[in-house]
Amino acid sequence: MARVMQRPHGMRLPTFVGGITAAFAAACWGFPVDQSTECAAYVRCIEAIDRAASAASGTPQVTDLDRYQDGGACWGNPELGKGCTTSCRRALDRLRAREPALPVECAP
Amino acid sequence: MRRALVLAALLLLPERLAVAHTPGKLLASTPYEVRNPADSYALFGVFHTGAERFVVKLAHATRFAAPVEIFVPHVDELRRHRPAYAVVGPGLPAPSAAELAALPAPLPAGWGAEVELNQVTPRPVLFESIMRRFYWTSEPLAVVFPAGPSEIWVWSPAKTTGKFGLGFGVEEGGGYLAALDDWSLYAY
Amino acid sequence: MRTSAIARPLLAVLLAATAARADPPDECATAPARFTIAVPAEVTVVGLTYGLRPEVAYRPGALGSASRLRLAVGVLDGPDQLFVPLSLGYRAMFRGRQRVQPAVGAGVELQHRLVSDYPAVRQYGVYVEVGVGIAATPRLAFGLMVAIDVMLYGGPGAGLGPRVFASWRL
Repeated sequence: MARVMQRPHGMRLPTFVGGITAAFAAACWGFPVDQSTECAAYVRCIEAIDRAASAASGTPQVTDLDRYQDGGACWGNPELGKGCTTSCRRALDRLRAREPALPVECAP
Repeated sequence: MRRALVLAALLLLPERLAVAHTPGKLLASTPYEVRNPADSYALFGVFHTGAERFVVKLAHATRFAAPVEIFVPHVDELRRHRPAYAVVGPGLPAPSAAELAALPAPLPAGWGAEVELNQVTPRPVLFESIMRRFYWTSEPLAVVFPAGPSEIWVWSPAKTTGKFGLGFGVEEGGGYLAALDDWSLYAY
Repeated sequence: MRTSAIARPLLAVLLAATAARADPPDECATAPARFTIAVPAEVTVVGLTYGLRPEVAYRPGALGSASRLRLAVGVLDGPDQLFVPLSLGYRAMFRGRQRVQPAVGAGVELQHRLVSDYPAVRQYGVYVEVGVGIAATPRLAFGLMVAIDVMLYGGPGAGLGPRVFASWRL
């Protein structure tokens, strides 16, 4: 451990401390998280609803789901991911309770 | 070279810090116009009488999904303050009879509503790490906003008074420093 | 009422500084002590809380050395939370033999935030501090510090905490 933390030869202390801090920040805070299963299910469901609506009306219906899709803004860090996952779970629960004839992709 | 890399890494920190909701102030007398619904917002207002209706107006070229939640500061005097909101617009689902009765104004013809009466119990708590405050929240709900105009209405079903915040989007704005313009509203 | 709670310690420091000016300390303003305890009163500006953050500082080097190791535990109350920070860091105190003693420091901090109906929020991060102490006697000093912290884990955010303190060299 001491060997790992040894300051590289020739590096000044502020640079070393700054580097450690930045690495710590990136490791703990900046890492994105994976798309949750709840939001993957929500995306599948809304896309299926869009397809069904498009077929029924003859007019394409597309919902912008960028935030929720894999790699979207929801997954920038764990805090955001937690909120988005809750929002997907609640939206799916509402859809299932309210709409009797949802596409099969929306089933639990 | 090594020093340049470290400096570049450090420069990323403020960028991370800057990713937050864009703050805004809601007034019952004037609808709040959202200029770019692709950004995220935290809009704060105060119920002075409990009878107010706050209106947020949006317009977007395409249907889009975003989380919405309403919250109040986690302080004893607001323990019973549970404002509700409804996203209203053409193409949204028809509200139930109970939701329709709870709305603070009649729906325009052809409009539907996604209604959040903020009744989850036990009351969920949110810690917001940028302003370092605790709130009671309705919990976020993913709402599909219609293409074209839509509105968010906020009201107080029990006519309680006090501060509230309305958040929507996923902290994609960068204008959180605007909170300094009205610090007491956002921070305390 | 809260304003007066903040203003009172500030006033106390100003009065103490004035008194110290009227009654200069000995030639050597630093007692040969390794430990210094301090009781700072603090207001956190982001996420309003106010309270005490007692600390102990240890001088590992020889008398006259600027280096201190600092350990502090705070208990600060606010409208919506109880804030309990734990800090460990390095502080450099300059001009130890003079009346006015600038100080800078940095370290790591663990912050606990508590409300009654939610699990404690724990955040980990770093802080920097800058301030000045005014020696009233060889052992007693009063001063003002300002600390900025950046939390890196457990929810990002930055905070600012001005504090006034009285310190005593053991």
